Amino acid sequence: MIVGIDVGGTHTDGVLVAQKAADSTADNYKIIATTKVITEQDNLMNSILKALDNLIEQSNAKQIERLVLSTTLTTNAILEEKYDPVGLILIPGPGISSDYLKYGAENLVLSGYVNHRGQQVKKIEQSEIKTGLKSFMEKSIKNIAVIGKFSIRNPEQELAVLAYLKAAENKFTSLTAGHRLSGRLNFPRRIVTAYFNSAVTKIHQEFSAAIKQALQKRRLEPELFLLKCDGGTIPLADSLELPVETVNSGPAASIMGVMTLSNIDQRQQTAVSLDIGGTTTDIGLFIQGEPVFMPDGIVINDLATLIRGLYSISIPIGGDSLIQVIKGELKIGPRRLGPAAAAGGPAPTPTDALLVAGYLAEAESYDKKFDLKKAETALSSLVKQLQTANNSKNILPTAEKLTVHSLAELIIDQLTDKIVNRIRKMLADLEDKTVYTISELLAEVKIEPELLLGMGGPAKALVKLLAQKLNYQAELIPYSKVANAVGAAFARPTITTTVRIDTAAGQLDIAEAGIHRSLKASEKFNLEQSKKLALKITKERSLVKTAVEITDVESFNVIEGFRTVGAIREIKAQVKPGPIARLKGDDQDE
Amino acid sequence: MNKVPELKAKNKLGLIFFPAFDWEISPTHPERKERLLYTRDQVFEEGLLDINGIAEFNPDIAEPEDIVRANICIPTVADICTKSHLISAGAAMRAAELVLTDQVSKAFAIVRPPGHHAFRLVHGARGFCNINNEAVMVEAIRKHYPEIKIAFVDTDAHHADGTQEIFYHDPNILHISLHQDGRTLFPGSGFLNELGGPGAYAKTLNIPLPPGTTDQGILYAIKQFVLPVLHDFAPDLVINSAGQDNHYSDPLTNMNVSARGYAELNALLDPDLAILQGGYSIQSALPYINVGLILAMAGLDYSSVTEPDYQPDKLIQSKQITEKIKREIDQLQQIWQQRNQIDLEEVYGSLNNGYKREKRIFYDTDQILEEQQEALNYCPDCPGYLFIESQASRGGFRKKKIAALSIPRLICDSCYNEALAKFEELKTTARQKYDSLYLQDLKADQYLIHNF
Repeated sequence: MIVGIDVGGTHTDGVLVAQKAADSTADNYKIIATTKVITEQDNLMNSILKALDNLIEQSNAKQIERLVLSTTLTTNAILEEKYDPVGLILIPGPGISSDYLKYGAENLVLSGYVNHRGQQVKKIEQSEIKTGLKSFMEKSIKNIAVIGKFSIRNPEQELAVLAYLKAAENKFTSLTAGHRLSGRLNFPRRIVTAYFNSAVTKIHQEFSAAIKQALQKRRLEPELFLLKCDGGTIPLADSLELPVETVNSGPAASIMGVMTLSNIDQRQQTAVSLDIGGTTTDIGLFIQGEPVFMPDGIVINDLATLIRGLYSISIPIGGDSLIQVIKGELKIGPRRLGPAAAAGGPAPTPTDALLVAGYLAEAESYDKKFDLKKAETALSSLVKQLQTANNSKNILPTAEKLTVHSLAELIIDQLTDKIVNRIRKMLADLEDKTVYTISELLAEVKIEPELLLGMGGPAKALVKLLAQKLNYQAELIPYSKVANAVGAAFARPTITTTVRIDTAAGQLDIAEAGIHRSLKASEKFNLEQSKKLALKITKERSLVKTAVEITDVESFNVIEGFRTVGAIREIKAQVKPGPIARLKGDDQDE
Repeated sequence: MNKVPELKAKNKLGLIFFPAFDWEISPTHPERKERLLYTRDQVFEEGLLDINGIAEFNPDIAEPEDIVRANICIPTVADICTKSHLISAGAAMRAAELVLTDQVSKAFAIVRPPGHHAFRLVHGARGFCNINNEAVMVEAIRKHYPEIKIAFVDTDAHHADGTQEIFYHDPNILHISLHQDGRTLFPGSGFLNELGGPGAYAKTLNIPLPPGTTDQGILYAIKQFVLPVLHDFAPDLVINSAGQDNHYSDPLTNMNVSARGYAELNALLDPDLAILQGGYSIQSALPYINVGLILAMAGLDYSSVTEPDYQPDKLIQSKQITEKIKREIDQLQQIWQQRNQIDLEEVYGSLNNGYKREKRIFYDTDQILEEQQEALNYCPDCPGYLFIESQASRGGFRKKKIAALSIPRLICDSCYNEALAKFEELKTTARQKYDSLYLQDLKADQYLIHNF
C-alpha cells in the first residue's frame, strides 16, 4: 500500500492506493481511500497526520510500504523568512561586483579565484576565514553557505573553507557547499540556492524527526519519500543534505498527478494541462508525454535559483475570482472575495456565470448547493453597472440589450480568451528558446499540443470551451480532487548528473556526486566512454531500475598553439520524472 | 534575507549570443567551434542573462537577397555563403531591428563568423570572412531608412578593410578603424591617407596604432579624435565593430589592451550596436572582454571585471608609442578640420573621367588572388555608381573574368539611367571580354546575373 499526501495552501489531500488483489502484476494499483482536510498553516504536521489517520481508518490498513509527502514546509519558511540567520562565504574573484550578491545576514568575501577551466588562479587565505568567522560568531550565525565562482569546475576552495569551519570550535547547524546544488553555471543563482538550502535545513531536520516519531507511534514503517520540485521523489534521509530541492513541490505534484491519472507518458501525446482552482489556474505542459522543465531553474521569493523544477505557470484567474466593472469594462480577478455568489459568496464570479449560462448542469458533482437565483442577482448588478457606464466599448450586444444570460456568455468568453492567450504565449516563449548551434537554429521548433487535460472544480464546464478555442481535444482528469496526492504517491525518484571531463587539464568533475579528481593516465575518455560514465554514475546514484537517459552532450577540442592538446566533454544524464506504477481499472470515475 | 541592490540595466540591452558551436574553418583554425565556448561559460557563470534589462534573442537567418545588397558573390551566393554566414549576417540584422523598433535601446551581437574583411566583390574567404555581416545589416537598415547616417568604429586589431571598401564612396557612412599598424599585421592597409573616395572625403578614417599600444593609447585616440569626429558627424546610429584582438594575450597580434580598456572604450563610444569581429585569445581574453562589454553596453559597473592574470604594471606604454600616437592624432585632427575646404582634384586628380582604383586582393583563407579595377562614375549630385572588373586566380588557375555595376540607393536619375544603359550595352557587346555580368541595383532593389 502506498500513501501520497499533498499539503496545499488551503487543503491537504491524501490518497491510499493498493495493488489490485485479483491481479498479480506488480504495477497495477487502485485507489482505496481518499481524504481532504483543512491545512493548518502553523502546524503542517497535524494536517499530514490527520490525512494519514483518515486514510488508515477508511482502508483498515495495517501497514503501508511507501509514504510520499509533498509539503509547503520549506517553501513557506523561505517566503515568510521564518528561519535563523544565514551567513555567506563568497569566493567571487573578478566579475560583477559582489555588492549585488551579499544576501547573507553576514557576508564574508574571500580573495581566492577559480577560472572557467576550473584552474585555481588565486589561493584562499586562511587568515581571512579566521577573521570572518569571528563576526559570524558574534552574531551567533549557525547557518553557513560557502559559494565559489566556477566551484562546479573545481570545488577545492569551497571544500577547504568547509573543512576549516568543521574543525572550528563552534558547531554549525547547517553548512552548504555551493557546488553540490547543481551542475549548472550561474554564480548568483548558486548563491541564492545555497542560502535557501542553509536557511531551511533546521526546520527540515525537525520535520523529519517529527514525522518519524509520529509514524513510530502508529507502528507504521513505510519507506519515506519527499516530493521535489522536479516531479521526482527523494528518500527523506537523503533530503537532509539538500532540503531546498523540496521547495515548490505543489505544482510538481499536480503535474505528476495529471501524468499518473491520464497515462499521458505512455500515450506520448503533446498536451497542455490545466488545474483550475478557486483563485488561480495552473498551466502545465507535456511534450510527447514528457513533462517540460523550467528552462533555467525556478524563481522563488522573486529570486532566481538553480533548483530544477517542472514547467508550470500560474495565472490569477479561477472559479471564485471576483468580477467587477471598472471604467465600464469587465475585470475578472485577480482577487477573491469569497465563494461564488451562488454558494452564498459576496460577489459575482466565473462560477456564477457558468451556472447562469447553463454549463454547470451536467457538472452537478462540483457543488450540489448552488442557488441559481443568487447567481442571477449577482450578475444583474453587473448588467446595471455596465449599462450606466459611459464607455462600455467591449460589450458586444450593446449595453441596452444586455441580459444576465448574454453577460454570462460574455464573461465566459473573456475568461476563456485570457486562458487561451496565456497558453499561446507560453508555447511561443518556449518555441523561441535561444540556441547556440546552427543545426538547432535551422530545426524550427514547433510545439503543437493535441490535448487539453483539465482538472479542478470549474474544469468540467470550462475545458470543453477552452479546447474548442484552441482546437485541441478535451479530456477531464478523474479523481482530480486528489490528483496532487496521487501525483506524490506514484512519483519515482529522479536524479541528474553532470559529468565534465577536461582531458587537457586532466580533470574529472561530477558536481552533483561530489566527485572531483585527476584523470589517471589510462583514462582517455573519448566521447563514447564519457557518455558511458555519465550513464553509469547516474545509474549508481539512482534508487530505481528506471531507464537513464543522456539529455545533453558537449564536446570541444582544446587547442594550444595550433595543436590539439585535449578535449572538454560535458555530458548530462538523468532519470526523468515518471510514475513507479500504474493506476488501472474501470472504476476511475469519482 | 539581506536586501541587496538590484542589478538593473540602465540601457535595455538585446544580446544576440550565437557561438555557432557546430561551425569551424578547420579544427585547429582560430575560427573554430569552441571560439566562444569559454565566453559562454563566463557569461553564464556571471549570471548576466538574469539581469533585469538584458534580454537574449536568436539570430535571424539572412536571405540571399539580403546578402547581395552588400556583397556581389562570384559566381553565386550559394558558392560563397554557408548557413553560418547567413546566420551571422542575420544576427547583425536582428540586432539592428531590435534597436530601430525600440524593443531594446542597444544591441550586442556576439556572433561568428566575422565579416569586416569581406569586400563588395567576393570570390572566397578572406581574413576568416566570407560575407560582410555589417554591410548586409546596413543595407537592410537602409531599406527602411534610406538616408540614415551611420558611424562605424572598428576596434579590431586588424584594419577593417572590407567594410571600409564597401562604403568608401558613401557619404552617409562614416567608417573609423583603429588597428595595429598595417606594416606589422594583416591585411597591411589602413593608413592615414586612406580617406574615402572623392564623393565621401574624410568619411573613411584610419588610426593605425603601433604594436605595444595599451589602454592608454587606444583611449587617447578615442577621446582626442573619435569622439569629437562623432560629435561633428552626428550619426543616427553608432556601431562598434567589436573585434577583441587588441588584447594583450591575443595570439595573432602584438597589442596590449585589457578587458577593462575595451569596456571603457565601449562606454565612451556609447554605441547603439556592437558586432563582434575578431579576437582569438579564446580562454584568456574573450570571456572577460565580452563580460565587460555586456556590462558597459547595459550601462552597468564593469570596474571589477579583469582578467585573472591582469598585471597593469607589466602593460606600460613606452614614451615613443605615446608620442607616435599623439603625432598621428594631431595629423588626423588637421585632416578632419580641413575636410570641407579641401580641393578634391588636388587629392584625387582630375575627376572628369571619374575616379579609378586598381586593387590586388589576396584571399588568405582561400588562397585566391584577385585583380580588380573599380571605377567610380563621379557625380557632384549623388554618390555615383561603380563599374568593377575582376579576375581571380587560385593556385595558378585563372578563374572567370567578370564585370559588375553597383548602383547605390541614393543615386540621381541621370546617373541611374546611365548605369542601366551601360549594363544593357555590355550585355550585347562584352561577350568577348567577360564571362558574366552582375548588376547590383539598390535603387530598384534588384540583383541580376547575366552569363554569356
